[in-house]
Amino acid sequence: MTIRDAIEGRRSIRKYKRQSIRREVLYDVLWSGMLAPNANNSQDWFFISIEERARIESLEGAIKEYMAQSSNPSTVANSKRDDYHPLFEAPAVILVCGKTDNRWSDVDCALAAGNISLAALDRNLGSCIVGFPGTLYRDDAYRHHFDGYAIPEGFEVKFAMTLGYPDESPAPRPRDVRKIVYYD
Amino acid sequence: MPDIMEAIEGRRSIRKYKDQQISREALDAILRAGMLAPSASNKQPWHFIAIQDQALIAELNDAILRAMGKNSNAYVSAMAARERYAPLFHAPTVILVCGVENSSWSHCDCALAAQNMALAAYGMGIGSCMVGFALNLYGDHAGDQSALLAKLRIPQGYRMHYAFCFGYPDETPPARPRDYDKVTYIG
Repeated sequence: MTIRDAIEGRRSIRKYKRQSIRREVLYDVLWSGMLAPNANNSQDWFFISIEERARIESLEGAIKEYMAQSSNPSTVANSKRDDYHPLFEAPAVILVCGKTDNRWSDVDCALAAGNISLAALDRNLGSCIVGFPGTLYRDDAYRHHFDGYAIPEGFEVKFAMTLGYPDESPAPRPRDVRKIVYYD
Repeated sequence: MPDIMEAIEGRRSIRKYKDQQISREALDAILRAGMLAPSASNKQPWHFIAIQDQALIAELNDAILRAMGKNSNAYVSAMAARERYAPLFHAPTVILVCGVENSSWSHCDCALAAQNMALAAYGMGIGSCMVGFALNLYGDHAGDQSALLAKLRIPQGYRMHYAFCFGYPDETPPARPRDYDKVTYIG
């Protein structure tokens, strides 16, 4: 797949087939993430790949509990729906973690996530970045939901990425091209 | 156009550039790739200041260098003191990547855009390097930079996250080592 096809063709995928992802494929995709540039080559990132159904469902439950407290009525309404799955019932969920005391770790983790989403597409996998796990991790009342994941000391969950074979082909979202100033 | 995996594996941060300027078409392709990145709730909380005016790039470079020299962090000031050190590497094109202030996802979203830009540039034979030292301009030690910042026309409510250098590479650095022991698999 050419660079252009990957960048132009990538979509955030929110509906996946049940089909699981082979470990070698998952490994290659995460490897691509680790090839991203990062401040001082500190590589202050860590990836926790979850394929265990019960764990993913438990995280979805925690996210819905969090959403139920929202001031946004549509977020609350979604949290009450049985057919709403904040991690989209994806076969794999990656917790992208970064070092808490590194001011560049949000940036570096996102650079890695960009590579992961494009390398995934090259292998016919869809992906979606989901912020809720990061939001929950930063909230003292919800952090315990991550107790069983052996997140390394000094690291925090920044966000999650869902991965799986797409069961939808969404149209591109609109882009605002008035976001550039040129000096020449 | 190279393969996406070749781009991911072959991309390097480039710190030495040829004088040759990149075309407006190439610059537009890079910026377009950036804007195709995903962003939280599709808010696109980014703004790009694309500079090919050599005098402005030189002014920016010198201001960053001076500010780095006054940084109380010894690593940063020692870097600035190095002979012929140029924080923007004499790159012919510099894009200031700016993000919405006080937004929890703007750093993530801008970085997703930045990585698309680096890969799209690579596909056209153009090298790139993100420069976080540009943030020295915002430091208290930098003194009053309001005149320069006004000249850059960073929109109200946005803040520069870093400078992003682009140009044709005049070096071929080897891959930096990577620690692959950074994954846990569960299930």
